[in-house]
Amino acid sequence: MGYYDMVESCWQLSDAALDYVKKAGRSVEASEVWEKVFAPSPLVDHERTLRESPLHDKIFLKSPYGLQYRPDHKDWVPFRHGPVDLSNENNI
Amino acid sequence: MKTISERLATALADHRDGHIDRAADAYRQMLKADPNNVDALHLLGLTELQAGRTDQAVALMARAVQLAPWMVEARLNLANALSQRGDRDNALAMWRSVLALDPSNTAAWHALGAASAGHGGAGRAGAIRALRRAARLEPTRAEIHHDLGLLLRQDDQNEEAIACQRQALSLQPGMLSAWMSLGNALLEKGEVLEAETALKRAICLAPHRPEIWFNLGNLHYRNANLEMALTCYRRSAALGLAAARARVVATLVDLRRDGEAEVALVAYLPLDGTDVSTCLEYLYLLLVRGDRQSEARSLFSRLETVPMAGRLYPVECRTALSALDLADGDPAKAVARLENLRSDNCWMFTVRSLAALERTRRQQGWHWHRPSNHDPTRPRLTSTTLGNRGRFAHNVLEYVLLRLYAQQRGCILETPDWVGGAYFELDDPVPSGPLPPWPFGRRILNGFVTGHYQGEAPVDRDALSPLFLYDYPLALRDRVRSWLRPRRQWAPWIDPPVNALRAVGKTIVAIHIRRGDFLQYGYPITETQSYVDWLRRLWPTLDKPVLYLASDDIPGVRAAFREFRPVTLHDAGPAWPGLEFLQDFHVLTQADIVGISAASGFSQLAARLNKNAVLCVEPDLATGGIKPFVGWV
Repeated sequence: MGYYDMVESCWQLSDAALDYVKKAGRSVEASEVWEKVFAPSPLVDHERTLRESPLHDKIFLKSPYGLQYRPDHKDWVPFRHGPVDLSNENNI
Repeated sequence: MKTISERLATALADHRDGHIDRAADAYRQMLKADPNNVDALHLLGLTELQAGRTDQAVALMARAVQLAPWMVEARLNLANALSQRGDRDNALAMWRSVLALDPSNTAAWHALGAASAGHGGAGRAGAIRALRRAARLEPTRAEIHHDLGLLLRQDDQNEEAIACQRQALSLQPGMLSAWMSLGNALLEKGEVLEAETALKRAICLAPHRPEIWFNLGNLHYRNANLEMALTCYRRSAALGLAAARARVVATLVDLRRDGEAEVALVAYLPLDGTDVSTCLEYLYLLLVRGDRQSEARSLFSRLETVPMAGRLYPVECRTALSALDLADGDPAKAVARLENLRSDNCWMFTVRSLAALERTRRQQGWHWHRPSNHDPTRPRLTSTTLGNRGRFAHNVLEYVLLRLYAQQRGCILETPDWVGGAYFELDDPVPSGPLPPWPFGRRILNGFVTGHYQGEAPVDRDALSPLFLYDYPLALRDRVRSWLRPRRQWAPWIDPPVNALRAVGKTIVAIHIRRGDFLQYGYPITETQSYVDWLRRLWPTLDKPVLYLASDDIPGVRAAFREFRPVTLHDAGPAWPGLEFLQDFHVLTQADIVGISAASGFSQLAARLNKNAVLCVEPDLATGGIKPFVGWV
């Protein structure tokens, strides 16, 4: 899987979180989103997320990417936490 | 002695202050000392880009990215340079590489979204997704909402498109293009007054911009306020928008001010950028309307060799001559005149096809008389563009929408001579007189047919290029199918290929692969491999299958299907000269399994009319596979 595909998966997980909140129709705590959306996802690095982000406002994926919560926008936005090797453009 | 970083900082400050040449000199000096200084390579590349020298910019920035693959800014600027150079594919790849480094890079999502939509919906879903992400990342950037609104409108999501433009304007009230796009979207929705206000606001902001006058002209034209439309189009043309010239001529023709239209044509035809093709159609119309056929013959014969707006227009000129032949009762001559021409020109398609059908009719010796409107007291509807804008399936699908609307609105549908009208058992009356234009009617026509539109539903109008139904409800299927039955007289030409297939197999699998102008205009292309893979799985399950291939590029696609021993029209029966597309179409309407070409109205229509098919499929552009096609929902 190329890096861009990993970015796409990361955004899809973010979309799933937004969908969950939208369907709930109420204010949803980060811990609930963690429990219902992020934790069941095979993409998520549980151990690292629980270790480095006990409030679940930063979700680490097994890929070099993750999602961080922006309280001002009530949105989960991708970030990169690991190295990527773009010396070979085919990796993209 | 300054350090490298101090020299870079000084140069960068010059660069930011607009002293581009001084900054570029400094970057060059730095590169003399260190040819691999990635910052200097990147920034010198940027100065080259700013100077419009994209090749040099690409070379410098590509070197910087090669040496420092992690440089997000260099990749972004390189992508922009590639895009400006017209190298779209590499630009898209470079923006994706930025996102691999920085998945929340708004500029990259924005650029990716703005650049990745092609014609015919290719890439549009991905482009919309990218722009939605950009909008989420930076909800306060007006340009992103504006660009998203443009794509949503193209995707027929007009309500959301309007909301996006309003959002852009709430963030940047002076955003000219958002006012213009809002006006256009509101006009499409039928909110004419609001649309006019938005467009006038745009004009107040920039009265010198010809495209706004053009759009305001469209609004007045849509309202049948032809004098106002003419004023706006003339202003737009005077301000330099070449596209407005044909609209000036069209409006003068609609106003029956033929002398002025002719004067405008004489002025516009030599000018670069004029839509000569359309203007020549108006010239033909004016001459025929003025009963000046012999003058038309000599003029179009002469114009064949006269460059207009920088080139020759032999197809249009010969089409005019062919149309004159046809009107004179000599369809064989009309067909012969266009026989060896290859062109996507819709007018030529119509004239050639009508001439070929008329030639067949005469050879068969039956009479065909189109009726006149039997009840002039009833309201009317027509669409003159059925005869010159779009080709077969495009016009048939437009006809379906118009006829449904006319039935529901209680008016008589009058049609010009058009290919579907001659091919199918249709009996609509000929136009009994000109009607005011009604462009951009798709949304209202659809809304009225489906019962979702409660506003004013026009009648006594000429619905120009109305386009199609948005959805094809099952409830309409039998009614539409009952209209679109081929005339029985064409059976000797359209039945033999189907019979030949039935003679060699029990299950006809007909696949359509569209190439032609789809390649040229960047429409979605159906990969033969997708169908081959799908057939390999399906074939062993079928009872004595036979594969029929319909394509405008049989030599290019046939080999891919070799293992299924495909049959083409060439093998299956005598060709109907000039009307082979109708034979292909008929096979597609009779096959047991139909494979549609991506985004092709031709095979979609055939599948919708097919009563025999147990399965219809189409390419799944997202996965590269094949998925079921549901024609009526």
